[in-house]
Amino acid sequence: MGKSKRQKKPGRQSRTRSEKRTIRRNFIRKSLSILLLLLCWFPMLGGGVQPLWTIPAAICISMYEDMYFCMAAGVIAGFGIDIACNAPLGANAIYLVICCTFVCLLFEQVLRRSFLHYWVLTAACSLLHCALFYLMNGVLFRVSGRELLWTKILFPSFIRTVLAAVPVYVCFLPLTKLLTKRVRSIDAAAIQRDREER
Amino acid sequence: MNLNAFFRSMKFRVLLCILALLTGIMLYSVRSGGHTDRLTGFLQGITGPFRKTASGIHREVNERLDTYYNSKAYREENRRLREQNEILNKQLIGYDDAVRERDALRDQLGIKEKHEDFVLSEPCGVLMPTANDLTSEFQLNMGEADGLTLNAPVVCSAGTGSVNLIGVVTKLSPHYATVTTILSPELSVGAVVLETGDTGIAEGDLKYAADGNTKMIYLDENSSVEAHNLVITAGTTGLFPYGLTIGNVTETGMESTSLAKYAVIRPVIDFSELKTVSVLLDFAGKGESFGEK
Repeated sequence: MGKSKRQKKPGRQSRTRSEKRTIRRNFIRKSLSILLLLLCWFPMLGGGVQPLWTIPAAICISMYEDMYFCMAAGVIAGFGIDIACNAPLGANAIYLVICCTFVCLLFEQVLRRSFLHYWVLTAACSLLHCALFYLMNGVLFRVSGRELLWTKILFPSFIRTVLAAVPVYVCFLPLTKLLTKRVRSIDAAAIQRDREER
Repeated sequence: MNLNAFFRSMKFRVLLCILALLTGIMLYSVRSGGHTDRLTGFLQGITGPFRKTASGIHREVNERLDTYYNSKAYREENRRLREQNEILNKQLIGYDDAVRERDALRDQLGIKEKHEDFVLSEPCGVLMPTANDLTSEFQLNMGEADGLTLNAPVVCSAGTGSVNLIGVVTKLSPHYATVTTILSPELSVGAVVLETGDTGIAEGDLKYAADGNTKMIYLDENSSVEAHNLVITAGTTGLFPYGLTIGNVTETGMESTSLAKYAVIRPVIDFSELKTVSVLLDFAGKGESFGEK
């Protein structure tokens, strides 16, 4: 038996116009999401007690985007906190990648996309972040006056983060909801048309 | 929610890979200890301009917000500071006087330590110099009511412990006194040159008073007085005690009569700088002229 003839792969079907539009819109939406995430990182660089703006931003992205993009957003948001808070690079990124993935799974499988759910999840993630920080810095290393760390830094920062979640949501709302909604409808139309053609 | 499907999916593997990578980065970052690791340094380098800009914006915004939100507190603080300022201003009025008095008392203490027989008045403030006067005459803020007497020597300490003669009280009123300085031709003081022992009379001369100097006359024609010699009171007349510093000789010469020498004396004290002086009310030998006893 000679060499088997190479089976010719079926040529790549050209994308429909609506698909191209969908891809373009997805790209714009994701680029703008990352840009907004980076903008959220900006206010954290001022020093003092700051809300962790990137946490609500990452959660907001996780609410609407696919899982890979959520992970990327988690990494960026985490690195942002690491740099702003002078933490070891990657420490917050690990936490936020897990958080974003978890939130993404929750919204995909269990929860309905709504502001209340987003807000509660942001609060939970932020509280857990503060608790972990307190545990790592205050309890494990037995820092003297660790109560002050909680009362003067972590808790106010948590409260501010929860409050900051509102404007962050307002900023992301047109980006995620409106763009996605329109794309979905176009997607549905394109799929419908493809079926009919076949 | 089918978690099993998720755990077997590609997404979960990617997640694990990312977590492993981040853990590696974190350990690498932690391992570098006090130094910034390369990756962090790289990221900090890239984000440096943004951080700088953000920090500037943040500061600016904070300042503006602070102005709005804390305006009430600032108003309150401003009012409190104004009150405090008023109190401090009131204290300051007395403060300068207190400092001057302290310095004068310290000078007096130095004089008293060296001359136990001296009875000094309270430190007298120099009220004002006499207008249009070449001899630096001035008024004191104390007078007869404060125990000052006519012809009492007026002295001060230059901070070196030596007592310098300034002049004498020539006019007295209940609360003021006029001091004629040793620059004045009206005042003659028996003087002695410390180094040579030559005696003479220290008497002002308007020619030298204009430059703030006085003159010592009736020096012996053979005296060896020279520049930088110290001239002190001789204490022979009973008006001045022995040893009050008059000044240093700056030049010498022969009188026009060629019978005696003279010396120009530069007082140790600059009279225009005087703030406080003391009046020597009593001393051992006061009123006892040489040769009377």
